[in-house]
Amino acid sequence: MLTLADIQAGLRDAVINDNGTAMASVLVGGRRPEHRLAIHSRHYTASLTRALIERFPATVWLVGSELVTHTAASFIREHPPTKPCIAEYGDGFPRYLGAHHAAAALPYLAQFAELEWHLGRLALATEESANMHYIHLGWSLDELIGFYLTDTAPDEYALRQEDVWLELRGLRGDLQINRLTGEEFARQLSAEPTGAHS
Amino acid sequence: MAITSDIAPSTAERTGIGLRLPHIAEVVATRPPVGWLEIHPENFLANPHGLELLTDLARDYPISVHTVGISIGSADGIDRVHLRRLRALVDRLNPVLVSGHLAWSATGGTYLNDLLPLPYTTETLRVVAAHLGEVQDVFGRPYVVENPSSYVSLATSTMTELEFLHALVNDTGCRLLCDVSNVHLSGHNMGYDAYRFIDEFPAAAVAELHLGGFTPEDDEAIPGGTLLVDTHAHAVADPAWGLYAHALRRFGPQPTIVEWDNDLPALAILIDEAAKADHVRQTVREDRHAHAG
Repeated sequence: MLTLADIQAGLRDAVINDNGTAMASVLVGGRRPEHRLAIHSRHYTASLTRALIERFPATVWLVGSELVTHTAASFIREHPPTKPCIAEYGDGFPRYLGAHHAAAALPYLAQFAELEWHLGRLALATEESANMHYIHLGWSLDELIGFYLTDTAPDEYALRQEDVWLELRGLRGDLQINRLTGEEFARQLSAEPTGAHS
Repeated sequence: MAITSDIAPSTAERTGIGLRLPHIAEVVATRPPVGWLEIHPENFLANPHGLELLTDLARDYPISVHTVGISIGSADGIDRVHLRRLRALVDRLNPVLVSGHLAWSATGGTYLNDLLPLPYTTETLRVVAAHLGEVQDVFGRPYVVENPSSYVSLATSTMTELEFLHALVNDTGCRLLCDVSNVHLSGHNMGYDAYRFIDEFPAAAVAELHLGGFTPEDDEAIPGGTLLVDTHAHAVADPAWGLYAHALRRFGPQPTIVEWDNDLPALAILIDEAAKADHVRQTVREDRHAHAG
């Protein structure tokens, strides 16, 4: 007799891998109940893909939804959520996206998505919550994200590889991106709690 | 600890709506005429500004907290860090109800973001009852348990869903949220009589009713069959309204929430759905009075 833990482990694998065949003998529901289990697999993938797409709209704007959606599908399979708050899911996605072979020609992509991740979080901040973040970039992505936030597009834009130290601030939908010098950045970092920088 | 609380008598007078984040600014600005608001707390844990707006709304509306991430049926325990975060939110909002699902979502450190079916066995009953006790102790108030929407069941079950719900109420004294649309959908998918299910539901434990839309699709498990999928992406369907009237006759005028989660419509449409529920409740009340007279 399968225990509750056995059943849940089997169903977890079936849902994540979208393959209920191994669990068919313990399911009831029509002649091929494993096909009905696919509803849960579909919901798992669709809801998390939607959550990631909605979390990274500027990244989608930059590289298109096909690449982000495709990468999200494998991210969700390989790195399922570990916590019940889905709005917090996806902090590892920028690095995963940047490491995807289709992003090989886009060396700035991981940092762009990470910058967006923090701006998205800070946009929901209040005085009582964490409302500041310090980030060091290897590309001048603050100008690019500025184009997105102001819905503008230059005729031509050359991305510069350089050290950029940023202070990000957010409060009830208002965002500020302040450039710092390396010295200012180091000073702020030493004064801020762990987690307020990347 | 002893859990005692009067569950929201005022909310029985007017139907409430499931409040989703895209509607919150409009609700704050317009204060629409709905009886109460039900939220998924997991949507607000990472949204301090949203929680601020909700706290403002809590001054004008009764709030109900409907959890989706507690995973009360998980064999390897519930996430106590999550529970503590929810407790802080519950303390801040002082809701009229706190509820969640008879389901599981997490195992082995993986959270599946879905409500998965439980086998109805004595082992599951023991697990769910223990977690229910823990949740109620942390929140210091009753935790109301919702019946699931089902596409499959587990062959290892030794009880029906109804027998399990009765046993859970008997063992824990918990209250129940009867999702009428889930009853209709599960009755269709699993081949039982939804009206009889309502007749045999533990009526004395009912604290709230839910209504939501579902999506019919081809049932790949039964050639030519149709499966109803609990998408909350449509208006409440006619058969569910009929079952809702039956539930009101059986359970009395219980607090009701209309839910809509996907393909979210304009707020006005959701408010219209709540008004339909008010109309059904009024009709049932008048019928009852007419028969009593």
